[in-house]
Amino acid sequence: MSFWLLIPILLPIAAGAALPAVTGGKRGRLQVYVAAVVAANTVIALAIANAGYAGLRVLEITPVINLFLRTDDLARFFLVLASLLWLAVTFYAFAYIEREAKDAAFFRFFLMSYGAVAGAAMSGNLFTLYLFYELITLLTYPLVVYSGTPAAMKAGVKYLMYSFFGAGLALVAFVFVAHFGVTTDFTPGGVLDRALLAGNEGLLPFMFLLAFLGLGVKAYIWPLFDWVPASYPLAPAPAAALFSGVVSKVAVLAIIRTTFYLFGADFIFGTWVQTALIAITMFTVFSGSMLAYKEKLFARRLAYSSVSQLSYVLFGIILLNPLAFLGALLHVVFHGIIKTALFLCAGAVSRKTGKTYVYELRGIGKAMPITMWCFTLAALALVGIPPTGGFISKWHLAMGGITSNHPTLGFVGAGMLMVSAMLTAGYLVSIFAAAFFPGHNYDYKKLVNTEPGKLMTVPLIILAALAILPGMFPASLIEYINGIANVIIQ
Amino acid sequence: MLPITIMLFLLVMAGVIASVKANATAKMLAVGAFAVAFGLSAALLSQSANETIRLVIGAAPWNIYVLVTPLAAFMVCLFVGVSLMVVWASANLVDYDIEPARIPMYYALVCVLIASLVGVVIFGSLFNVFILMEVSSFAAAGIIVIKNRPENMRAGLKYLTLSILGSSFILMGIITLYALTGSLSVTGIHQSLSAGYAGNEVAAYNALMFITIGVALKSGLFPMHIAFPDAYSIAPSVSSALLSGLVQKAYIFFYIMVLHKAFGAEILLNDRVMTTTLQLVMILGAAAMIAGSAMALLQTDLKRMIAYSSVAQVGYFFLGVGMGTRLGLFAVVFHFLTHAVTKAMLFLVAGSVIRQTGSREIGDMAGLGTKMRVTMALFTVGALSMVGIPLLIGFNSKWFFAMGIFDSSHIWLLAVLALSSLLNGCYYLPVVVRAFFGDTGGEAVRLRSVRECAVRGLAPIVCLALLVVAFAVISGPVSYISIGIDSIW
Repeated sequence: MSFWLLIPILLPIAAGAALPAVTGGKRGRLQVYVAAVVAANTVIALAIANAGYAGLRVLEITPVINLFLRTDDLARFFLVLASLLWLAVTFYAFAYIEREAKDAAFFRFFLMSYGAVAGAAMSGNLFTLYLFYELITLLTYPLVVYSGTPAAMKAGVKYLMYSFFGAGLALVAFVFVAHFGVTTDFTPGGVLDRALLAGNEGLLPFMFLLAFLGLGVKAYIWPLFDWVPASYPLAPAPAAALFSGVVSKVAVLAIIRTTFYLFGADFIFGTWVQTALIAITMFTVFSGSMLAYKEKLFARRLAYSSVSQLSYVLFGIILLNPLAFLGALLHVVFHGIIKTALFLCAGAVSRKTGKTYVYELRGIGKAMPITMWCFTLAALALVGIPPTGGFISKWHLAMGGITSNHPTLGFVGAGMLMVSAMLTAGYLVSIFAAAFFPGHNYDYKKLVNTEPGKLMTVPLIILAALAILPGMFPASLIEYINGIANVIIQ
Repeated sequence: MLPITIMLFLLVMAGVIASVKANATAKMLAVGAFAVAFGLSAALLSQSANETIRLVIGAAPWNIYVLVTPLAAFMVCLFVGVSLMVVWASANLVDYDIEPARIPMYYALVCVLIASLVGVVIFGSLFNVFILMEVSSFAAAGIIVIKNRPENMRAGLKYLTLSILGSSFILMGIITLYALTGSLSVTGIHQSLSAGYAGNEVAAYNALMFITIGVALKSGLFPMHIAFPDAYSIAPSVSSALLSGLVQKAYIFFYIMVLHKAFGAEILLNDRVMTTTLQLVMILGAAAMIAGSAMALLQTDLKRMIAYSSVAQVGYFFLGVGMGTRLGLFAVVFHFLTHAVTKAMLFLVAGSVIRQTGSREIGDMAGLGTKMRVTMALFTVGALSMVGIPLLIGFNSKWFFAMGIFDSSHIWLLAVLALSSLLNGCYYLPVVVRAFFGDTGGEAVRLRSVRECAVRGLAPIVCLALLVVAFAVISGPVSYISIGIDSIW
């Protein structure tokens, strides 16, 4: 029994619960405490990832309802990504939350969410995944309503309701899997039994649709992404960064688990639901980009951008071929890093200057050069300029689309990726172009240096570097992902 | 003798408590009585884990016939255990709700009520069961009107009227069965019906329908629920916890016994009229799940909201019973446990909040989480359980119902189940959100004088909360209920 798998889940949750008692409202003590917990937890998570496969089953109530943690390749992949991003955001958050009075309330749930995310990453069966998925909803809710304004409360309710609605849809599909499957432990190739399923085959695609859309709520799939533009601009920047960088990736993990480890690609391949979901994800890619292009509020533009980018990933998953899957997981990594960096930049700008609209950002590159350089690098990576990370992931996604079992749709999809990339360039390049080249009528005398401190800039620099460098040396990452893909897609 | 001992012991204690003058003594005696009764119930549970206890006194049909299946033993344990917690919690709450002179009387009534509920589940003769159901109706009305205000009298009268109407339907059903089979014991009726009732189908159908309508009236199945929200919200909170948490379940258990012990699955499921009746019950249950939750959404009064939530929960029971499958029945019995523990807890929390703040309006609860942190945390546990968050017992219930639905041929019920739990979220979570994250701006002054409950008031609610978690993560209840279902299927 590998009880140590519980540590990265329970440590942050317990530490978060004890936070007000331990820190007693003193900022210095709080920062040391939070930093120590997050750092320790990240080290433990990395150690677990490094230790290879382990499994732990506790609280066995029925063969379905039991807690099963497991670190297979896919789990380790998400665990490492989530831990590193969480660590980066933590230090930034110290600087960001500084001005607010209620920092204990923020960091308490910040820590506890980390535990829930780690749990979701390591979940080895359907019940465990569902448990942590719901826990993430509940524990991140206080981060959304952190500011406590009526608008934030309203956004919070919207977030809760969309999330619970999605989880409810997914639960219906999960019960279907439990009823017609031989087990609910994640098994490469799926758990459904054709003999048990006899007579109910017609139900299967419908149930898969429910699961995909339900879990897709947190991955911003159309038509269930309406809570995103409402809540992101109101959440503190570190929270928005984690939502977009990590929490949405947990939803992706859940969808991968459901698609390849519960339903099984064989059962979905070539059915109407695959076609429908390819179309839906393509539509989401396009509409997210269009909405981002039109949006003037900086944080909301980035939120819409995430809507679009996450559907790249979902598109790659539902094509059900190894090449597209590779592209999807690469995009999980790169988008996780890039979007975290972008949200943190937007947060730094609004925190330091109070500017929240994109048309206010003219010349900001002169005032905050490091921040805006990081923004520029991350933005270029997201557009997909070679040799950045975004290029490799989109390349594989497009190739996956073209070589898929739906050549026509795949071609259109690949085209859509190109269009979306251009729109991405349109809505991001315009920002940093105006930031660095404000034009001849810009009043340089009014320029004040508003560069944030090291707590903000160092995480930004690291994230920006990560957005570029792995794109240049992706071989080992590709090899690792191919290892996963080969097991689950025949 | 053990099952009858539990019942008689509680009745005797009722008499003792009623004659006591000092309130403190009455409270102690009541808690003590339920603690002893719980010990006996636990003994009964372990004794009957593998066998059905039978005891006949007198000659049929007008005899006393005790029939304790493992399922009945489970129900006895549930009734006595939850009422132990509620009575314990009541020590802190009744003084606020009930005038001091009536407190010994109140506890006597509670003992009578629980004794009668125990009686309803342990007897195998419909004649015995019917008498105890009547006792329970009057005792239940008693703990509603105890507050002695006009609205309590009205609510109590309404409750009693519908309950007696329900009883008369049940009586007609029992008489019909007696006329048809010449027997009043469930086993006797079953033997006779199994031998065939050709030529008397109409009588059998009538019996089933009378009993169905009667039970629906007595347990408040939508749209026959009208007396219940009033009763639950106006009665003292302790009474609400008992009425909503326990009383309905005895009637539904009686219904299950009639369906599966007296009629039996092989008769019930092979007769088209009977299966149609069951389906009707199922559809009404589904309607209740939605309608109850929808009405709960509209409430501004905390206790009324929880009361309407109970209307929805009754729908779950009838849905499961109406599915007529083993898994459906399993879900129902598991939900007995879930609902008894969770709803009792929620009503006790509501009672504590009303006691500490003097207000029952949900709108007044903004920021209450800062003042009554533990109480509101307990409410959160209950609310999340009702919404169906894993590791809380409500999730297990929801899961078992969903599995039952896949097992039946009515997949569309999944939509009802999903919608119902979403609606649960829609009315429970805003209360939690308001309490912990709500704007206290204008409320700060009013909240200043609000204090957390005393520890002795919180302790029993904490125990219930621990049960909400514990029953979700141990396999005991699941395996025990499986045995229980086997014993009646």
